[in-house]
Amino acid sequence: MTGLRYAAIAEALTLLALFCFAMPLKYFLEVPQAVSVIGPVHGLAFMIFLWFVTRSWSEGIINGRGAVRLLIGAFIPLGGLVNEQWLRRQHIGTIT
Amino acid sequence: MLYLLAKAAHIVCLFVWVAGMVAVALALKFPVRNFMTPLRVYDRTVTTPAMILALCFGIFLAVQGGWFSQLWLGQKIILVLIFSGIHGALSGKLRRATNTVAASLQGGHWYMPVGLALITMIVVLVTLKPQISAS
Repeated sequence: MTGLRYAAIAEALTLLALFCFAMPLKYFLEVPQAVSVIGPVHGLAFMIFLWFVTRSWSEGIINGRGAVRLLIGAFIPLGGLVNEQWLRRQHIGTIT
Repeated sequence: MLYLLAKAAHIVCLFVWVAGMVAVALALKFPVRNFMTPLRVYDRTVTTPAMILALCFGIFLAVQGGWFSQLWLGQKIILVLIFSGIHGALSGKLRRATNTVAASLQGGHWYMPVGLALITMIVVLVTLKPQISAS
């Protein structure tokens, strides 16, 4: 669960950096270098996040609906951070 | 030179990653007591880092080679996503199987053929590099 949460945070932060920093630089200031750096970093973060989602689903930590929720959240800016909070509540729920 | 070294490292990591996946798939199909725990440690310390390194080197190669505008790379990335998803599923099943051997016997017979089909398609795409531009 901890790895999945960290992967969700990393994916969300790189997506935010892409949307709020790199893409405005590219399309408003015509500086495409930031996208060519942050884009691949976000791609890597997304792949690792997807791996954690399938592992957690297969292990039974989350169910199919939770996996779909996490995947949809990965495409929405701030969705990953909302899902991280949801995962944290799930984790606390399983402990108590 | 750096590109070729990265390519070599990418292929080595891929070998380690695929070998680890085959080991887990076989162990889940033919479970042996006292083998699951060391295999889980191996998966965590060798196979998974090899997967992450293979992805890192792959992205580096795509950036250095300027392949991102090529359609075949987009197709390959989708296949790699599915392949890493299969590894995630195997890894999760293995973690569950370390707690109970009975859980490992349920399903999972499709991992090997699907994984082989994906690897075949990935290798064909990378070798032939169909020259159709995405843009």
